[in-house]
Amino acid sequence: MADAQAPAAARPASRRKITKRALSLFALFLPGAVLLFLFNYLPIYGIIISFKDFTPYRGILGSAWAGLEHFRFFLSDARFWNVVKNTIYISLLDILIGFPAPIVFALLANEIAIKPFKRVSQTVSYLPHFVSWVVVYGIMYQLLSPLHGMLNKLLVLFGADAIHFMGRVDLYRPLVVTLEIWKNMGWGAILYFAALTSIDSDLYEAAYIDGSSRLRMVFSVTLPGLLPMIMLLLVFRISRLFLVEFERIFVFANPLNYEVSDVLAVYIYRLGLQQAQYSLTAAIGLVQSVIAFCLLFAAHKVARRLTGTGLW
Amino acid sequence: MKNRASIIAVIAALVALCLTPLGWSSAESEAAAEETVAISMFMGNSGIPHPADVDPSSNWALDVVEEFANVDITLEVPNYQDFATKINLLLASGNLPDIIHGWQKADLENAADAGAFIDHKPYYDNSPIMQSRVSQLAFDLAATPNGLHFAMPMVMSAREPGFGNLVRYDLLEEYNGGEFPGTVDGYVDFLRWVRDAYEDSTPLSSRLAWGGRLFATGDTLFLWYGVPPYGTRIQDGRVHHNITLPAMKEALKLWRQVFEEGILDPEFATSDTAAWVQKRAERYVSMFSNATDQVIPGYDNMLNAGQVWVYTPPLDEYPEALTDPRYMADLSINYGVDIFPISSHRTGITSASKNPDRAWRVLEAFASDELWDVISWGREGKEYNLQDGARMATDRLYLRDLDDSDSHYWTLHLGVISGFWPTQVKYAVQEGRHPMEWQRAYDSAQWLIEKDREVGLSYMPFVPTDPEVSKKAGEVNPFISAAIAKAISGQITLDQFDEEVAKFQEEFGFIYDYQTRYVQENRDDLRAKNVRMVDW
Repeated sequence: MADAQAPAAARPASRRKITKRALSLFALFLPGAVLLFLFNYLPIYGIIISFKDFTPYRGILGSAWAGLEHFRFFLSDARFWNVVKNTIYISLLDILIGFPAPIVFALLANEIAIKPFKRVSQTVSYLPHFVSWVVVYGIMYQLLSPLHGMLNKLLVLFGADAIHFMGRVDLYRPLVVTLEIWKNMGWGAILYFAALTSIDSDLYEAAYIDGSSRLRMVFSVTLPGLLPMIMLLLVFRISRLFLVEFERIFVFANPLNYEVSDVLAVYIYRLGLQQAQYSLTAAIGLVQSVIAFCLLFAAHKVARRLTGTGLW
Repeated sequence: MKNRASIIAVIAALVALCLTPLGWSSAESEAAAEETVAISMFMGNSGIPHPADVDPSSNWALDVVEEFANVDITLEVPNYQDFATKINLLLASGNLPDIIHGWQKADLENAADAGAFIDHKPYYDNSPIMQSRVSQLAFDLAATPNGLHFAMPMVMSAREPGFGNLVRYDLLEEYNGGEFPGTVDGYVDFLRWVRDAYEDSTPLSSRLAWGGRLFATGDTLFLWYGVPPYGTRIQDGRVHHNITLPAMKEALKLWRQVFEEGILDPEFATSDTAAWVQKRAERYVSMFSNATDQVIPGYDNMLNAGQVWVYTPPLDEYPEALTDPRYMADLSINYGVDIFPISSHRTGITSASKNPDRAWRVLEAFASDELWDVISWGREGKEYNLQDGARMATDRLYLRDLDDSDSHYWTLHLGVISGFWPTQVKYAVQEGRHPMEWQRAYDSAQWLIEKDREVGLSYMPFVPTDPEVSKKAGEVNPFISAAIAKAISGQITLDQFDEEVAKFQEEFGFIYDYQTRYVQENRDDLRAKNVRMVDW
């Protein structure tokens, strides 16, 4: 009897212990949840303005309903489809060329044997991330101007013709994609550096004993170790296929490259801020968000199927 | 009983006698003790920034406004470049100050129709100060298309018309003794000479400026073909955008030629205003275009840069593509023809103001003679001295020095109602400083002033905004800039330019159909308002 009662007496104590722990965890979770709700879920209410002719003075509820008129406008606007095409084009280049760059950089930096040099090169690589795009434009103008740019002066010195880099439509995308890599490669590599430290050194040792070369170890040990992080960031990046950073595109845009530099962010800026079409731009933003969600979900599914790694 | 009544009457009279002065002094003391009210205001500097050390909310010029209205103004003045973005963000937020000044007429009107501003008519009707500065016509012209008097306009009565091409006369003298060429080709020969004579020169240049416009104040060759690239014209009763006219293609042929010859700056489509100004100072830019009242009243700015600019006289022979010289007016800017009575600037009291009566006094202060005097003449002992009762300007009047916290020029931007044009005072000052050079420049501008007065007003400021047009209006300038930049730089052929024009017609043609309808339906009314081009 006594034996039979013992577990029954222990159960309530165990339950109390779990509840206490859960409470403290819940207390930790609560502020984050409240902030998330306030700043990420509550504003979703503002989606309504995409179905209204919103004016701030009448408020969201006081503004007149417009139905799907704003969606009809931009979906039937030829310019909209052109900016969508440009956005996807630059975004795909960013993914194809820009996304692997921090991985390659992290792998190469990881191979540097001289630790002080490794640390310095890592730190230096972060610096461009903190330079604003306006300053980057200024630097590029001084370098690439056909009138006084240093690079063009060199070209002319060697007998070549000066090139108007910023005025050539065919050079716009290479320019902005390359600059994005230069600016954010080091910063983007931080997560990979962190992931590299978590790879078990025994695996390298075992590979070494098995006679693997450095390159073999990269492919057989390092990359598989980085794979979960790569997939996570790739899934997030794919979900932002329709989002290209406004500042980078805007500062390098000019009439000679509008046909390729006019992206969604700039289109929304012109309509929303310059023409005060808030409802119209909210409608475009809503469509962008829905597409981003679908892409996120699809990328996760594909990643899960191909590599067994995904968001959840 | 009679005595008692007399005593009461005497007491009443004494009380009345005492109360009368008491009542007067009470009212006076109330006025004297009127509380200073805090007023918030958002305004643009119209491209004339405060000097580095000047606090926009506390300075000698704003003191005139504050004392006039007995207020303490907190002024928010963004950078000129950021102004359009800031004011749109402000209007979108709905969180408005007491007073807003801006020049995006359509945006302000949209906000007004949505309830952002109070009705100013009751105030205007009872304000002799305002009525003496802003006429009833000017006040009515500033109303929204729905008839709401939401703000006070900036008046342009002191402004002179005239818009044309300027040439570096000092270089022309060096070229041929100062003889003006009589044809476009003659000017191209001159520009070719500048290119060869001065290493690293860009005799023609351009900039990408407001609203995505190229050739901002660089229209030059376009003007002689009668097709400023962002302008329209009325021809045979219809509104045509210049980009769609055959003359545009002819003009572009010449622009491409000067580009290929190295006369036109290779960065013509990529330079911003700062780069353009630097090129004008250092790279022998030899022609540009501008309004006469932007150039002549502040002529010493150019002379101080070591450059002598004059307006080009009428050509002896215009390009064949120019079918009528009256088309040499840029209708996309309101000083391309005779001066419209008001500018696009508006200053209005918002519906968020807790103290609209005092805010109105601030508007009266901006319209007052006291402030106009500050803008025109500055301060006695600094910007002018009195000699035999007459004002004599010192060197500090219109001193444009951003490092000098006591300079005068920036005060012009306070003319949000009275305008920026103390033209006659400025003329007198310029004439006193550089008599010969100024007179030459002044004389060169007179034919343009007369021509634009003859042309009359543009139809454009009268056309009400339309919601469908508003959605596409922001796309027009980028489209044109891209098309002409590609055609000039050779990225597309002129036949491909025709395809661009066809696309333009397809995408934006409805805007000019809308304007045509308005002009045709309101022809008599527009003609009565001095819009003579309705009969072109």
